[in-house]
Amino acid sequence: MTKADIISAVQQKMGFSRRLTSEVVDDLFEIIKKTLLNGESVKISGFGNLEVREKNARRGRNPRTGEEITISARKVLRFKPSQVLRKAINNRS
Amino acid sequence: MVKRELIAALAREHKDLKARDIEYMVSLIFEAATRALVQGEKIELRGFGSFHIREYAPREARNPGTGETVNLGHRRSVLFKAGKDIKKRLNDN
Repeated sequence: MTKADIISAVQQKMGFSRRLTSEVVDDLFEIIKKTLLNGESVKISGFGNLEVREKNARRGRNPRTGEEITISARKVLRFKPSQVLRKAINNRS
Repeated sequence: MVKRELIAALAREHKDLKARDIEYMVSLIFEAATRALVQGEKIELRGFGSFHIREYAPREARNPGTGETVNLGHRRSVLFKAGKDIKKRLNDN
């Protein structure tokens, strides 16, 4: 599924123009992105939470060459699916 | 930031739409995403990141509180992979 499929799904139900619908979808993900880049978590009830995590530096290895390297401290995004989403994806069959 | 605040932020950028319609659009977006994940489909959002399903094999685990052995069946969860742009911008201050 891509952004285009999401836009189609929304458009079918709302009946707004493709252009307006796609603006809203883009703006939504843009707002989420900006919020995360500010270091703030985004919580979407029924779907999940996205948060910025600080990772400490650690020793790692290049899996191809076996060479030891230092992986520097960095920030990563973590998604925690909500209870509702976890149930939904596990109750299929 | 929670869903309600996301909707409010979107509404500020879309004075052309009713708040109620924006709220409905946001729920349609996450419903569409949930539907795709339930079907095992990956969601790819350009400039944002992707969500995909990871399958976990059944295993025996222990309740760390009681030491009791529990059987975990086949499970699925959702992983998020941040897009290149976000990854980069999170780390260049």
